[in-house]
Amino acid sequence: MNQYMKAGALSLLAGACTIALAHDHDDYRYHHRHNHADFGGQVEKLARIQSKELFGVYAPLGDSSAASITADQAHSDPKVLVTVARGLKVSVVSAKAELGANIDMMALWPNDVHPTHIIGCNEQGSGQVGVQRIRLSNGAVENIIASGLTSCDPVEITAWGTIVAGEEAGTSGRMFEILDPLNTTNVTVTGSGAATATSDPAHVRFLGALGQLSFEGISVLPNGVVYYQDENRPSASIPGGGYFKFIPTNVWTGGAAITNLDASPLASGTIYGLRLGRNSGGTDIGLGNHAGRGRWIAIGQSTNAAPLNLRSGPEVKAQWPLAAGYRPEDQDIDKGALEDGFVRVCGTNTGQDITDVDSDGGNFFGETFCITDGTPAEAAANTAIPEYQLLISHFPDFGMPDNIAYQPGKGNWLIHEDGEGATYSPRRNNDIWSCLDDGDDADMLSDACVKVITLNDLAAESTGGVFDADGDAYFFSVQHNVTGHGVILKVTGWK
Amino acid sequence: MRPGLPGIGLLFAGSFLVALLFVSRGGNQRTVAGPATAVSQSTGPLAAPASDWPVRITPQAAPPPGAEYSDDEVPDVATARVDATMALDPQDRILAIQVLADDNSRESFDTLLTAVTAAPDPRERATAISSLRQRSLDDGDDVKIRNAMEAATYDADPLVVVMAQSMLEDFDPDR
Repeated sequence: MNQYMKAGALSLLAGACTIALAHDHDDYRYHHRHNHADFGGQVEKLARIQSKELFGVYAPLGDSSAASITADQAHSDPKVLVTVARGLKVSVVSAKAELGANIDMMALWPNDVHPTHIIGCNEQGSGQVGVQRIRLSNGAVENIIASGLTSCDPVEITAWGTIVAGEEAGTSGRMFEILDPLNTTNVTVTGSGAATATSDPAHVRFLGALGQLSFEGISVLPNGVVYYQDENRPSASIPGGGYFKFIPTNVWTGGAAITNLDASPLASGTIYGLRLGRNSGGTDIGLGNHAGRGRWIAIGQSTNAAPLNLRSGPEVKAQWPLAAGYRPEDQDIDKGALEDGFVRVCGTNTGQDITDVDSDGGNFFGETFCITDGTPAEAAANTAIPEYQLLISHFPDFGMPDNIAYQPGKGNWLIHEDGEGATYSPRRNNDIWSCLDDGDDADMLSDACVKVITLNDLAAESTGGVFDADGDAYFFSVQHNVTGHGVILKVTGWK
Repeated sequence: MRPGLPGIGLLFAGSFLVALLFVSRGGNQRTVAGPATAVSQSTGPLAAPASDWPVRITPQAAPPPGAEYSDDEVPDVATARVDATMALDPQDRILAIQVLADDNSRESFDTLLTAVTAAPDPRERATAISSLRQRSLDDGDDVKIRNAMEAATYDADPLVVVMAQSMLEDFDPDR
């Protein structure tokens, strides 16, 4: 190549880059004119440089994958459904044909130290399987609740040796408690609301005490206090989903696992809703006061015979205004805070990201927040002052946060993007990000986030992430993927 | 023709002339990695930006589906000590510097200490600081690290400077 050809090639490259830069900056909503170095960009680079120290990976991912593999490729090797950051390893926990196609949240059983099984919720219709157990050693799948649940989404393990699983089903949503989940098989649920019944009430029971809403994020403290939220969007000036706390009548004080669901702390208690605002004698409440300190407002007691509608029932409306989010999704307990003797749960408001070609797109890319509530004892006595603070304000590449998991050891948060990247041009997959918590710096926001996992299936969604006790193994589901059945993956290699 | 296109044509013509000058002056010479001594000459993506030019995130193509980083590609400590200074690819040197963070030997410590000020790419120098921070220190190490960090506060790259200052503040919060 002679000098003129090289110069021509270089000039074309330079021109193309200039056009690309100009294009990148022409959207004033997201890129603003400034006469100094991009300090935010420098901070992002600092995070990448220190990725091993901060996030446990040699190098985070850059662009999201644009790939969408075929069913044959996924069947041949389900690991190909994802690409991970340098240093991480992927293995397949289960990709059995009988694994629910929409496995969402999962809990490790009998504990997260030496788990033998995953208990997973399958987010499909009432005719499909609701709750399954998956053996970690060989991926074998068995049904716990075979049918009758609509959009099973959250699953948690309790300190008294049971599993709770709930429906993300609007005001019809219910929570159930499962005793002996390794030996409870093919239970069916019938009816709705107060008429709910199960084929094995000794082992699977409707938890009317938690009320009814679209269950998604749920955190069960060791003493039985439960934090949960309603996966609801605002509509016609009606608030979005609220944040609730359940305080058992009989808190759990430890001991052997229960053998009868009557002994569960979740059998009865009082439900509270979060109201933000304490200023001016607690009258600075309502639209505009969406962060900071507040109060837990008693809503009442809910029972199986008369479950409360926590979204729009008279008991909850009587206490409005309550804090609300745009589709509150998952939440998880800050286990580091709990070890230190404090209650902190962090969750997501997914927002609504719709591609720019739709002029009605919301472009509210979501939030990750945290709620503190004193010590566990104070939370149970309802004597602490709850405080809601923003942790992450999300953005187009990290839109619509959904599932969230605390990483023991590192203290980071793994957050699943559920954005609409697949509808953008160019199309891109959803990702899983690792976010630092807030440090000792002046602000109260996450100090950095990097992309650690990206999907390779534009129709799929990653859900249900959960870490083992050491933060070494991360289990998550690739929901509604191209295989037509469920796939659960395990990611290790965190440094 | 759209109104903006003549300007773009002029842009291409101008850049052609600049590129021709660059090529004629030997800008196409191949570079090889070698012992680095001239920190100020580093030109990696993290090189200090001109005051009127914003730092931009370098776009990265996503790895292919299912791509994993094989254990075989992670060098052992002995290899990493060599790779940290001699590998041709900056990414390999950075990986080696990351690996040395997990080795508490004196040799690895000295390699990292040298990399803080002598590595050619600012990403290497910054990563070396990060790796040093992950190590448990022996007696006397803190003095050596302080000296290296003091030197790094004069680095041409602002990110290296920030990291060095941060580590110095770890030693002396009142600094």
